[in-house]
Amino acid sequence: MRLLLIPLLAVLLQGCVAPQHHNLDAFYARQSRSIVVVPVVNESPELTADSVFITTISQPLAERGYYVFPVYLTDMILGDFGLVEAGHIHQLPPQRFHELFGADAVLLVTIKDWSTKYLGLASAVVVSMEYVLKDTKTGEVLWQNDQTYAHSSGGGGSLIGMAISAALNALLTDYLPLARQANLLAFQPPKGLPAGPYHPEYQQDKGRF
Amino acid sequence: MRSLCLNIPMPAVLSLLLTGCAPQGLYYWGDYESSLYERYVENGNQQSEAYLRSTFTEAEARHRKVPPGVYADYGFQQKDEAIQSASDASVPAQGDGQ
Repeated sequence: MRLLLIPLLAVLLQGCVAPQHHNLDAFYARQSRSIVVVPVVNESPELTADSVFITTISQPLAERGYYVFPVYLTDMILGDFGLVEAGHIHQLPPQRFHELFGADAVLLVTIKDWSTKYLGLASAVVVSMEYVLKDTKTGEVLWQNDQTYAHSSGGGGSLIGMAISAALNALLTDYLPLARQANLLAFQPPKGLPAGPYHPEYQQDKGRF
Repeated sequence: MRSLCLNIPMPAVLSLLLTGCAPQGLYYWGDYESSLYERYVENGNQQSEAYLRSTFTEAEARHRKVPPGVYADYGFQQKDEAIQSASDASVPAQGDGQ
């Protein structure tokens, strides 16, 4: 019975994403070229989640064809202006990021979940993020998406083996590959980010979003 | 008949298909993520500059594009170090004057 619950759990976690109606009119109208990723709001119980996550966001975003400001440098510059708290930074008028960086758009990421869930002796590692892209001139939302990625383990084998594997997973859980996968999926069609000006498919992939 | 894709996880295969089987990305990323991981997660700065330097030198050697922001990140690291060593040097000088 417990073993059957694991896939169910995974399905439920994946199923949390609400269906979205994508209106990309503003996105296509603004034709953003550069995106600044500001510090990530962490709503998960894992204190290091935002630090680990921020290392994974530049590559998939830039590979979609946008100029991505170097995240560490961005943090330092925000810090120089006394802006260190992610929750506060997310509340700023998006126009502020045009003043500070000259970026066309700002990406606000909120970590909704970043945890290992146990069900009996099996475990599921889950990461879940909300991505919101805002225009830095008009302040409007250009694009948004939610992405959950889960990896479950410990579904088979002996009870002792499962206990050991669950314990090891708890100690050595590496969320990095999950965050990478979530980002990759979040930017892919149909709900993802259409190709930007540095991508060969720029303005040719509208049919897929 | 044995496919090369056999050991590649599905999302990777999917992303390959979606990007039109592009053999490589737009940029050569090298150790950029390692430099970020060291600074953000390990709260260190020992290798970051070397990671950044190797990222763009290797990209240039392979005639690949350097990822956005890597030069800026590297320049800023060097500026920080210069300021740090300048202030380190000024401390004993002040001590001598007193």
